[in-house]
Amino acid sequence: MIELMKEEDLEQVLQIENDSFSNPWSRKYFLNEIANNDLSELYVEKIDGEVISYGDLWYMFENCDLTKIAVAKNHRNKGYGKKMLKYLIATANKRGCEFMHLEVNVNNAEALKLYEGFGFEPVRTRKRYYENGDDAYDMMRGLIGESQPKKVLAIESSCDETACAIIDEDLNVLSSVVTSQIDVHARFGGVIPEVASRMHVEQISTIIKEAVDQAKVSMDEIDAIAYTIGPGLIGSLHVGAIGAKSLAFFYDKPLIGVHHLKGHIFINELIKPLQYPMMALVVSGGHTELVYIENDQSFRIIGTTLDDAIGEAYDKVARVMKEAYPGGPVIDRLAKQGKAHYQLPTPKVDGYNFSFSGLKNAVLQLVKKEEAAGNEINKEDLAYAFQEVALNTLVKKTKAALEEYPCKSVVIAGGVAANSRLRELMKENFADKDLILPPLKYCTDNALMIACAALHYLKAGKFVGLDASSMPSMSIED
Amino acid sequence: MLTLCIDTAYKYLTCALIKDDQILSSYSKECFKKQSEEVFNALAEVFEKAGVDKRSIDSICISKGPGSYTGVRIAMSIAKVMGEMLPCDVYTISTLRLYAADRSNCMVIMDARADRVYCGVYDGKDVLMNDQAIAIKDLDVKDYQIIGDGSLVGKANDYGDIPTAFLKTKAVWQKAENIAYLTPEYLKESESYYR
Repeated sequence: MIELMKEEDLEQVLQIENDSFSNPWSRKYFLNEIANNDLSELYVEKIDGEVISYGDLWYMFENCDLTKIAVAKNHRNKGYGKKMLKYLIATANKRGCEFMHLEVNVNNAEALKLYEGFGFEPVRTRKRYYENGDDAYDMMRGLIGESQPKKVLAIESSCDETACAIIDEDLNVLSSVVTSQIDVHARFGGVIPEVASRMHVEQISTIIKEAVDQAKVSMDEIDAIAYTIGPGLIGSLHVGAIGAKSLAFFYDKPLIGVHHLKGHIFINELIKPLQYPMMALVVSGGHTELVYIENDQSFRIIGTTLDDAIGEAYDKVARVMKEAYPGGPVIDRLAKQGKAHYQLPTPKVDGYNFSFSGLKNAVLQLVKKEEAAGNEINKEDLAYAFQEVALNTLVKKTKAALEEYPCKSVVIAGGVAANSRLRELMKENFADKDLILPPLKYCTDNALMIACAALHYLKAGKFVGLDASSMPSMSIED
Repeated sequence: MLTLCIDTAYKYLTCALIKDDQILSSYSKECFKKQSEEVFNALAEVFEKAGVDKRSIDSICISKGPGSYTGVRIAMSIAKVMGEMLPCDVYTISTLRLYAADRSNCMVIMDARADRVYCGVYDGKDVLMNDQAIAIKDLDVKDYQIIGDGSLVGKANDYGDIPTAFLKTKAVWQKAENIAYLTPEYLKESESYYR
């Protein structure tokens, strides 16, 4: 996400600055740019707190000077420079500038190519501009008539999070607002559909308003409205659908009905571009699927659970152990302190399908047996035993699937993707692939994921009508 | 004042555009459990018929329940979202009171399943019995005019003309002070879902 640079980013920026320029700006200079120089704005792109790139603009009436752009050494040649430049151009345009100007060393072929690719043209040569005697080009580019990247507003309400986000087609996150009902549902040990629907209604207007306010856009600037059309709880889906349709109707915007799981997959684009074909292991409270993704429009389920979803199994096992809902984080935490002690059977299912109900029952039987024998259950060891069997099953099947369906990249998606042991196992087993592990904050449901997926629907022109029905048990292949 | 009125709480899908004391256009059809799909087509129709710009409305008035849970959430979600975004004022009225309109000595009943009904008794602007969920066998229908699911008590079903009912009840529409906090009237507490 690209945002205004803050003082807390300074150390990282200085590191990149020193790595990138023979004549770097000083700490004092940066501080002045941030705090005092009203004419200039510094922008940084950060991923999980790590500064990837930054750029500096000087606004001088109708002209805007691009005074600096740099990418961290370990992130070069991945498109981040282009992304930042595109953002800076769009930002200058939005601020009402008519021209953008920069200076570049005539011998810096790479930079010249980048700038020319973005429409900059040399307007004059400054002789012996640099200390080493090199010449510089002044390059200019007009900004009038520049089209702004398309923006999508998305709403998610498929289970127990009510969320709204706005993103543009260059993957700049303009806002993302999430409210979770998890505390309420934790009281009962699971999501009660009617209560979830009611809470969505309570939140729906507030989250939309907040997302629009935070993004500092007007509804006129939004190009499409997206929402989760399925799968999920029908009553919950309805509320988000009505919210999205209200906006689409009153503001005359095209409407996009997004498959929830595609959201979990495409949100990874905020980290890096996806490479196809790709294998997605979708693991959540409602799903356990292996999805072969040939390109961004082609999804094929090659394996699925025959009974419980993996997240569901975690919740049920947590309940057997008298631990709190949701079970995933609890068991993950307990298992870290556990050791190999209890034996649980490995589920045996043909092909790439999964089954977790047998494993769940085995846990239940084991607890009963130990209790009957008067033994106290070692929760840490039980959590360890369950987690090892469950997660190794996932990894083994994914590995097997990749033999038959060779892929460039492997991604895990859904709530269970936050599990620390699963992430470890994925790293151990798929080091040879482009492995994508979503940052923890993207593992739980949010609307940013729906917005990311919606951009692919937008690109393909896949819209739905205002009379579209929500689809509680929709397949990702639809 | 130009008001968009919407009732999706029960068997009908009703919308109407009311300007001051006049109905500019209306739509009212039986549409049980299909309101979610049909409501925006109906809205498009009333705006087109009245020839007014969608975003020129000053307010939205909805029936807030009781009724079908999914149904009451439809109008409520539209009103809350557009009330915040346009923005515009939001008014609510009890579904039972809406159906009673300005009738005198009128009992409104709506099937609440499990041999129960949602019931309210009205006499013009006066409330004789507050809205509640009540067992059919405990109903005292006296000589009230029965509106709603009359067939449950041996009378004819009669829901009246709902667009007109919006106009006739205008004096008792309740303006929402804080749109964000608006919730439907379910007549069943969320707490009751926790065992």
